[in-house]
Amino acid sequence: MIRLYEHEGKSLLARNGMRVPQGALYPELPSLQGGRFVVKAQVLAGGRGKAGGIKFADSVAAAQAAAQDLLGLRLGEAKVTAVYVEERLQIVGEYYLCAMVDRDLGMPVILASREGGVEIETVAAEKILRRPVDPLIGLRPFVVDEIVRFLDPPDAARANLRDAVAGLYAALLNEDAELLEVNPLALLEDNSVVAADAKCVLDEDAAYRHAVRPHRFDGTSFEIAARKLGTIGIELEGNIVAIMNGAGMTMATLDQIVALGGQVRALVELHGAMAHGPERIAQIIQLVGELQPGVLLLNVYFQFRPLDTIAAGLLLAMDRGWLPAGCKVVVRFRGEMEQAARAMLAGCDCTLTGDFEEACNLAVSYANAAPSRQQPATVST
Amino acid sequence: MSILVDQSSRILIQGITGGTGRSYAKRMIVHGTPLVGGISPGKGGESVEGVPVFNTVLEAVRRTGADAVLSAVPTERALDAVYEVVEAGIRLMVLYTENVPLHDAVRMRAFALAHGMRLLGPNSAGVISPGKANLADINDANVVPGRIGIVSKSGTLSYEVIDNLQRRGLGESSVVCLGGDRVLGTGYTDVLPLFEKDEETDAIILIGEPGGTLEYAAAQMARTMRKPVVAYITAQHAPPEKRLGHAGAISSIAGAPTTAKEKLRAFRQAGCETAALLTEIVPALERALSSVQ
Repeated sequence: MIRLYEHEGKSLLARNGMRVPQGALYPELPSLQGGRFVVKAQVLAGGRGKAGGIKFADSVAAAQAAAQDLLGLRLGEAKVTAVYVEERLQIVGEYYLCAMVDRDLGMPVILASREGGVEIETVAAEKILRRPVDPLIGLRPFVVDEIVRFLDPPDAARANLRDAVAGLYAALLNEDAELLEVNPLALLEDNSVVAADAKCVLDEDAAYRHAVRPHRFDGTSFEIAARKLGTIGIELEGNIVAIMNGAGMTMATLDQIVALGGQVRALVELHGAMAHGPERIAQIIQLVGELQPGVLLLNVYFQFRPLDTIAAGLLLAMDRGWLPAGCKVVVRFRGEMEQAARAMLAGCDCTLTGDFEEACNLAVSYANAAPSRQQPATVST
Repeated sequence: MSILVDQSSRILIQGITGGTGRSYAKRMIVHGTPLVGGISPGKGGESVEGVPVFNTVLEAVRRTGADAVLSAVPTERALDAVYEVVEAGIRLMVLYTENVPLHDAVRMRAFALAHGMRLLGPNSAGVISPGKANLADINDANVVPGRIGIVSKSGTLSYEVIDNLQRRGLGESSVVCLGGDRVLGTGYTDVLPLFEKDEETDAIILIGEPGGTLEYAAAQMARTMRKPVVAYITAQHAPPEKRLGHAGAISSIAGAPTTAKEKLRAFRQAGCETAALLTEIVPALERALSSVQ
């Protein structure tokens, strides 16, 4: 899931044939006649307008001042590091238009409403058209007609609205997007139809076939570091870190630990990391070690890949002192090369088991017996 | 009987000369899964583990009478691989490949459905009917034939449930893994009727997760089934807005209540035994079985 900033989303829509307002990323400004600007903080969170992230300006100097005000501002959790300056539109009507892949239908859908410019969650269901698009036939003219009829624009704007719908759907496919939401889709005095905002989510798995693709991960610095190691990391609050194979196992381990009264500091799902060998496993353990956990739980069940890779990685990490002093290590090994992997860990300071439930029990009892790491350590001189 | 695959299946491996393909071929031959050939463009005429390699799926089907395919091709080839298998008239395909682009999943699902091919995946751990045929990344040595059906998105959770069943002397008729991605070729409600009809299945364990609404449709179906469905939904304690690995396991954008807790409630309301923890699944199954008898 790659989320785009508004200005990135708008250039994506524009290259697929949708009209967007003239704009430029500050310190550049769009060259406008008249000089009426809208100055927008570029953050991914919603509710930007209410939070003071959008300002209006009637001169170049005022636009520059507004941009300077916004830079460095905090909007929710996000710090404003980029400001986008656009022409101010003469809006006479606002629609809602979204193209996305509907996971439950297993196909794209177009969502459209005449109630644009407000949060779509607040719009009554009967005022939203939800039109699936069969991928085997694509977005046919009769489907576009249906959507445009529902939106019921002035006659003179009909063709422009058709183009906007077609452009948005083309962008969904061409850009391998998961979701493209335009709210509002603005109807202007001259009957043109323009994307006044853009919320875009792209499919990370398709990144390999797109030359221009921002490579950015959402999440905490730990979660981003985990992604860079080819794993999926989740940072929470607690003193147990747990490394698992498989998403299902990851979720189930979290459930089990929480049910036993334990608290999880972080979860790591090994994902594709196994293919990179013991050194990579050691790096993953180093990364979770930096969170200063009281307990490391390795809960691994492989029926296809060999467990000795994990054992070798753990040994490397322990030899190098990559786990904090006093951190208890619980290893649950089950599956391919189980005996060999256990034998490798025979002389090492960890508790071995083959059982999921026992491993979680051990991790929680160690964690709850360990002194809290939140307290400042006593420094002896 | 079992479902989807058995000893009369005629199985091909697509990508048989790759590392994953070769490992699967070896395992199948050692454990008696009816593997009849493989596909690897440009390598036609070779053999792997004693079975012939063909250049195209169509040629493989014509020469071997194959009806099922396990596909372990690279991500970039996955869509083409599915199209080719569908066109060759195959009945069942497991797509093991991970990280398939979302729109490719949409396209392959639509094409498979239109042509009546059962597609498991993408990112499916496969299907096994223990003692008969194994198109899964489950080791034959860890499963015993029995009368419990399992349908799951997750492969690793299937391993755990199989182990827990075995400790209680229970085995499986078939284990079906749908895959962990958001758009899948096959859903729970495609598999449940097969287990319902199968004379060798007494009860079904359904393993679900947050995100999407496939589990709700399954709960609705379970309401009217003769055989008990025991439901487990993982990530009961998942923090909202965190993605826990399976691409599918996130809240849907539509805003429907798709949390693990909501889904489990739907199964309870449908009269199913449910489990909130992995370790509670087999006890829930035993309650369900004893109430049937």
